Amino acid sequence: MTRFAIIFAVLLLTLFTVELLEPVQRMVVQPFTGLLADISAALMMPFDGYVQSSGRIISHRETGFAVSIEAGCNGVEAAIVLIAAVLAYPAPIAKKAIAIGIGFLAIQALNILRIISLFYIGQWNLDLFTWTHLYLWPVLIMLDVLVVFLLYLRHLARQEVASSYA
Amino acid sequence: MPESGWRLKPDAKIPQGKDREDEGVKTLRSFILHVLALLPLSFLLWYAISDYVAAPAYLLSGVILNVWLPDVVDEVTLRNGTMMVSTLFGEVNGAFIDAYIAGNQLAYPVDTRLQSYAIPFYVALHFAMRPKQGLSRLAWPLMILWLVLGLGLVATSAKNFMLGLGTTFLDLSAVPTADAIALAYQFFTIMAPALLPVVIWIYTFRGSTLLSSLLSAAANPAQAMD
Repeated sequence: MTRFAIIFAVLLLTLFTVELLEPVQRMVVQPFTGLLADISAALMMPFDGYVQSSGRIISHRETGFAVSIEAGCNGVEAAIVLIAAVLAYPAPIAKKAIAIGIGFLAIQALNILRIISLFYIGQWNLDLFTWTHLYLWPVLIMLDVLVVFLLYLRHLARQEVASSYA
Repeated sequence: MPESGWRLKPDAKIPQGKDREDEGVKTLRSFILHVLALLPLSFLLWYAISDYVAAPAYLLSGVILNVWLPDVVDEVTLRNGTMMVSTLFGEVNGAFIDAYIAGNQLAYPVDTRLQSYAIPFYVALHFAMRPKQGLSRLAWPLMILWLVLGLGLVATSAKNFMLGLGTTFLDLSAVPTADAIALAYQFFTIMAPALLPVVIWIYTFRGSTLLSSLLSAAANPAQAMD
């Protein structure tokens, strides 16, 4: 457990620092955030023809409301936590890669739900938007990370049991 | 697990077998459902009494700011979830001078809820395990949370000083570089409030049936099938 904690902390701080570097932001994080905005808008457009996206901004042509997806709202930090935890925990490389891939998709799926929900909550009630945006959704995203990691641990445990009886 | 080269051995500090803590929640599904049920309650309670929840972190950050930056900070107050950090500076024609001479005083607000939401999150995780002596076991996790949240309030204040006072603040000998302040601010506002409760929860309940069955499955194969 101590070894896991140390590796996790080192990986977490390293990945978090790397993510904040200007070239990484420019070449990876911001294009990815723009892609998230495009995907979110594409999911809303069939139901709401007034939605449009431009870069990291999603706007509504009828109400004039717009949201900009910023650092902390793109799920990258949550993904970093999951990646650090999965890499720090002892398991075969292939299982780690699959866990990171599936976990990343799970985080981003919930994150897109967050973006879409906030986009409409903001048009309805700005106070509720602030509350859910700043306090509630970060918790739900981190809970998603925790659940994905615990499911991964359970999968590893069951594999361990299966191999011990084989 | 041959590819990894090493495996997690059962930790001597993790209670095993009959010595394991008999928490009320033993399965992952039950735990998740309990968390989702408790989160709205804990968040509503937190929002209603947020000044009290943030108070220890606010008091700690006030002491740190006054000791660290006696030439910058005048007073730190807390009201309606907002910590107001008054400086010794005022502003005249874009220049930062002594507040008494300027006739005005610069103050920077900090939303303590951006840090303190970690506490209702931890409380939901904690009681979702339905622990024995749950309230008394909540004490040390709260201490750690308040300590880190206090540092977060300090980091946020330093970021506010950096953006508001510019070189007047950054040129002080006790102040680290702008990059260090930015990194600390990002870590303490984006990462720590959401992550810390999870880390503390894993450590606190590492001996529970739920977690120990996952963390040391090789030593306790029967438990892993919960």
